[in-house]
Amino acid sequence: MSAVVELTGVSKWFGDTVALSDVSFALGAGVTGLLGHNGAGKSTALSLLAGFSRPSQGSVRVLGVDPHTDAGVNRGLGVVSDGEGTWAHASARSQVEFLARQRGVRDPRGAARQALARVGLAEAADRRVGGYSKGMRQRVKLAQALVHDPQVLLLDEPLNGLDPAQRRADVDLVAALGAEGRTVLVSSHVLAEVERMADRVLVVVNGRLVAEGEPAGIRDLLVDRPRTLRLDGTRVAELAGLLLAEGLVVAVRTDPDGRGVVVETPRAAGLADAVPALARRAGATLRRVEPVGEDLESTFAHLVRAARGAGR
Amino acid sequence: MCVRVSIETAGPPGLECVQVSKTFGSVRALDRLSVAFTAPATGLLGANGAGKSTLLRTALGLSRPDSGQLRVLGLDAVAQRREVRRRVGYMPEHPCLPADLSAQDVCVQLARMRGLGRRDAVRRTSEVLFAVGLEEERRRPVGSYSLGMQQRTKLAQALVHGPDLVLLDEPTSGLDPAGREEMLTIVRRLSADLGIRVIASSHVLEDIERTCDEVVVLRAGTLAAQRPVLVEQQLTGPVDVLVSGDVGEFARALEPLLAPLGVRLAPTASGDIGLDRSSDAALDVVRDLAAERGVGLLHLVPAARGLEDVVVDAMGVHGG
Amino acid sequence: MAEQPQAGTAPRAVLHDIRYSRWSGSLRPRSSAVASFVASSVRRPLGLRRSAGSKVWPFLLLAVAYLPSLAVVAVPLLVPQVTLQPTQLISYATLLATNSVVLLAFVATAIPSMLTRDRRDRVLSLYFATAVSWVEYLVGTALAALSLLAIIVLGPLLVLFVGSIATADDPGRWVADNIGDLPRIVLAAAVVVLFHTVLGLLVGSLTSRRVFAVGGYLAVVLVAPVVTVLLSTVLSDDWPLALDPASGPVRLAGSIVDRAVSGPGALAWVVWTVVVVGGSAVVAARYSRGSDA
Repeated sequence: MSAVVELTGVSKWFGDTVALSDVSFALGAGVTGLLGHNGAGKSTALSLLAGFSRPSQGSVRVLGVDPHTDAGVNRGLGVVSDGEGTWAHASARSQVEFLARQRGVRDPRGAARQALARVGLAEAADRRVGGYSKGMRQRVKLAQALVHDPQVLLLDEPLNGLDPAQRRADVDLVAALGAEGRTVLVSSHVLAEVERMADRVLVVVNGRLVAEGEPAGIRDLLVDRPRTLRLDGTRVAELAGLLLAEGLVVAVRTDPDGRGVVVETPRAAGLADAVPALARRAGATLRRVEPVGEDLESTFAHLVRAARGAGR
Repeated sequence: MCVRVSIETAGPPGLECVQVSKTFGSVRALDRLSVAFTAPATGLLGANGAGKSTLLRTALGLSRPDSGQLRVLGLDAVAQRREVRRRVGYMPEHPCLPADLSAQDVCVQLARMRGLGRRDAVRRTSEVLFAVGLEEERRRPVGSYSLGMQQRTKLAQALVHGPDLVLLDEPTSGLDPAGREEMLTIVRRLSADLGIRVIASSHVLEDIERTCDEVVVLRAGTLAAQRPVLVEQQLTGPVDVLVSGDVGEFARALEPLLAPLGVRLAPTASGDIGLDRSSDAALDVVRDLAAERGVGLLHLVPAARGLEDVVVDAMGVHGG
Repeated sequence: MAEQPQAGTAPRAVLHDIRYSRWSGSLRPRSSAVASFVASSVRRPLGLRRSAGSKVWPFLLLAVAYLPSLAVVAVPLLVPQVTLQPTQLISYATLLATNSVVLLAFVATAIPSMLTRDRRDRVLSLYFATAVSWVEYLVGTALAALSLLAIIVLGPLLVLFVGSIATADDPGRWVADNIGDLPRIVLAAAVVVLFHTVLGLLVGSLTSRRVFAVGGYLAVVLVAPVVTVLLSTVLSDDWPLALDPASGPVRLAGSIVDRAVSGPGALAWVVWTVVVVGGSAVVAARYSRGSDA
């Protein structure tokens, strides 16, 4: 069974600039995060998937067809792209209804009402979009992408301009959209939020795909990544000394803010096993045992460093 | 209800509002707002339309309040405008740099307009551009810069005249993870090492958590919450524990040992063992049980109520 | 405990901290700050300290403006048979009139953009929050505009004056006879320069799109002559010609500097005053309520 979204051997260049080089991946139901530096090729990838441009090499398939040539793909595809996508003078409701009609939705009004409610614009739907805050304009774009109940969603920085409450709500919304069985590809720079929305990630560096899969899985594959553990409580310095003496950690640092010690180890599992007994021996009360740098942001930074190799 | 717990620094507050109101047409942007920004670095949060931008603009003298008193570094924001202008730096969110000038030109020109002599302006510009990480590109026109370089230039011009207070509006907007990391480090350094007061407005709580000591949350033009970013860890609050091996079995063995201490267990959403209260004695019980059974301690963290919950609650319900 | 170096020995190494630090130097007076703003505002339209391409058009216009007076001075200097004074070859009033087209072109390309550019760059909030007040900004911009237009208008006139000194048979006597011309030259130039500075800044303050501002200015100075000529033909009278912003100030200036030329009359003065005073008031009003950015 072919995947819902598929890139095979795709390269894209603009003159002498290589935007994407030999990228292949396949997406199914659920939310996938697309990570990469500015200029790494994320927007190009999204643009190819949306059908806005054609690859220089390779093939793009969305819902089984080439999105660039087959306009029918728009019925099953919802896109939130960067930049303005709304008209200032019309109300949110009218814009979303218009798009619903364009995509051939059977009940444009009802669908628009539902989409607006889902993104939290139910009350403000009849005001001019020109009077909206940036976050609300962003949500209009999201409603436009949802109104025709698409199977596939491409979201480029969908949380841009949203305040903390709206961000939290939309993170939950995106996760829910994936749980409903849609295929969602979301690109964002705030990696802590990507972790909450997406089960899998694709990491693009310098136009090439360097990692794909679950964040924890990618993390575990990075072999020369130092594992760091923060320990706080009473007599943690003595505990750290014991860990060092037993050869379980290779480095010990005291935290400058006074929050205990930070130890570094090549073997995280062995360390976790040894901590309780050694803590008892040292008479240390453990008030905090916390792995540091296990989040997606650290993983991403490490991936990029590793990908670069010798560079800065 | 407004929670006030603040961190004090020496000297006048960076920004102080006393019953400040400002109305635009029919919209009450600021409604008798009273707040004092005393911490070294404060995060300013609020829904769109809660009054954050109006507060910043009024503090910067771009708007006049209808009523109330506004003091910046102890100076009246309206009457002592010239002095305030000298001591404040501003990094706007919107693009604000002339595309045809280079970062160096922009900084030197602004430094001179702020009253620095030619030599001082040139020297300071060189230092500040190096500090924000602009190297050879500083001589190219700003129009050719990437977003990250533009943000750095904006920050550099805010610092070139040695202000005592910097107002940053969405400093990491549009930056990729590496750029965000660098910007946050620089911002943290401003208040931690250089003693410059910082007021940062951002929608990304993580940025505020990493750079600020205190948050101020606005709602509908008034103060909804003001509290430190890091709450002192209570030694008796709830704690989440995760062990290697069979978590359920460990929890079952742990429960009767903690019951005499008045601690109850419950599983958490992420599969940890949650202790509803703790004490050093209780934590030692956990440690000793793990040691006896040869079970590894994967993590043990105080489950304090996150900043996000507090802030979102304070902001009120806003369209979802 | 640090070791004390032996008396007479120098320390073996020193570290210098070059990290960015707080700065607490003394400040220059506001006049100096505004002066630097004026200087950079004068440099930008001329393309100085920028690419060669940005210098082409302004310097071309400058060349065209100075050419007549330079030529008229060069001829008697280089060709001994010509014994006429430069000022007999071309009078100040005529020079003003011939240069009016260049002036209009220069104003159109340089003056409105001094205001529209800052609005378009959205840099005003930075200026007014951390650098200058709106008064300092407008005064500085106006001074820069006046300086630029003085270069185009007053410069050629002064070349004529000074050139005449050089070509005169008896320079000392020529100066003594004609020194009274100098204040009149300056006043005449001021009449023209003030008018077009205010007009150019006025259209620049009304919009943030350079195209519209320049278009507005050109519309005024190109359409008005046609309209006023039509009016005066229809009414068989001269007075509508005084309303023409393209020629009115120039003729006013001409009448000042050369008493033989008849002026366009009191109505032209009224128009001049209304534009200069009223236009300044409008510009000030546009900027006094704070930043637009």
